[in-house]
Amino acid sequence: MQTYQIEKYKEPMRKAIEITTLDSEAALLIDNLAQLTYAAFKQPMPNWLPTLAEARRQVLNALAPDRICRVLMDANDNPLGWIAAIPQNHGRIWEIHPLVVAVEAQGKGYGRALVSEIGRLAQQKGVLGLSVGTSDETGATTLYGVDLYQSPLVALANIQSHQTHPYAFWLKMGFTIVGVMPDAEGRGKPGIHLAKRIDD
Amino acid sequence: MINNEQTPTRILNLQITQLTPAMTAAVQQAAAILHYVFAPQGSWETLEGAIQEVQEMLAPDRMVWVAMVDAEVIGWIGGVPHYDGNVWELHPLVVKPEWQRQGIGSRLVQCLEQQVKARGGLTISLGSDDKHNQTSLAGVDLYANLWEQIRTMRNLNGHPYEFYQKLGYTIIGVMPDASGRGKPDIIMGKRMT
Repeated sequence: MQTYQIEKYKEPMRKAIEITTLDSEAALLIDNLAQLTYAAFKQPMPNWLPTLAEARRQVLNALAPDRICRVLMDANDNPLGWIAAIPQNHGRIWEIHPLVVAVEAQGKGYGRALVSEIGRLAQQKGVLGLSVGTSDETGATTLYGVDLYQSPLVALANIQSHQTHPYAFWLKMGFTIVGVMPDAEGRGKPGIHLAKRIDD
Repeated sequence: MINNEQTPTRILNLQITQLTPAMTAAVQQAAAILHYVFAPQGSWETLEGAIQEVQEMLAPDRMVWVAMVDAEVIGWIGGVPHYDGNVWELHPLVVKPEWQRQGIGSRLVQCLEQQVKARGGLTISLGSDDKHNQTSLAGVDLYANLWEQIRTMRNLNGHPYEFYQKLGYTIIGVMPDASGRGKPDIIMGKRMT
């Protein structure tokens, strides 16, 4: 199993165990990741993963052979968070989905470490860009509750957040807002698309 | 007579119906059109790939509508649900070259819109790539001043985005480098009311 020392972070980053090599250790890690994922989204996005079984399915989906998945482990070999990417456009673009950090480990830069790791892997593979989608279901941004078809470009150019919203995290990671999907989560509840160029 | 409008005699017997796996001849015809029209542009370069695409589009959660004249497919449109069916992606839209410019593409788009509305969809989205420098968005860095670049965008060589604009679609974003460096996907959408 490959491990990496992430600069600035003592914890090693692990290649997620592939489902074909599922052994007792992998089964335990998958259980832990499912639990961690369910707990992390219970509060902010209750509709996305309503049950532990749904969270488990997200983990198993991410372990499919065509996807890229990394797990950040602490010094005691417990998972702190994980990230996965889905190749799109014949592998030219990697869509990040999902990024998960354990509730008790949030706010310590682990999310940033996971995104950097995916960026590093993407560059190695000759990927041209990363993409990520986030939604506004709660009115956290100025894109909520308006008819975005009237002037989508003006709305996107002037986006502001009333409360903390994940898009601000992605901007800090060097992503740019590249589009919006009006009414994606229901009328007036848009999807927000961000992307980051990966240099050759 | 040169006429870009619908020629009533030719489309008198035009029928638009939902494609099902049991319609094996129509499935093959739909794949052949996809391959024939898009292979020169670098998509569905093999007939096998086109057949696979049609078969994937026949999955129960998706839909395909074919335009037929005398039991022969002359064009088709597909729809893929996203966001629990709130958004339907138009993918793909293709019309046989000899049947183009007669309003069949528009008829197929209208058909998809009716079907999406009937299924409770709120938005139709589509991605139209620019692989051949057809618009001013190709060959530039879209990560800088994106909104200004879209606002002042120009159609340099018959890119289909203006076809969709005429049908009420709006540019809602891009995916830079989706078809190669400097070759973006142009994302459009239309609200279903």
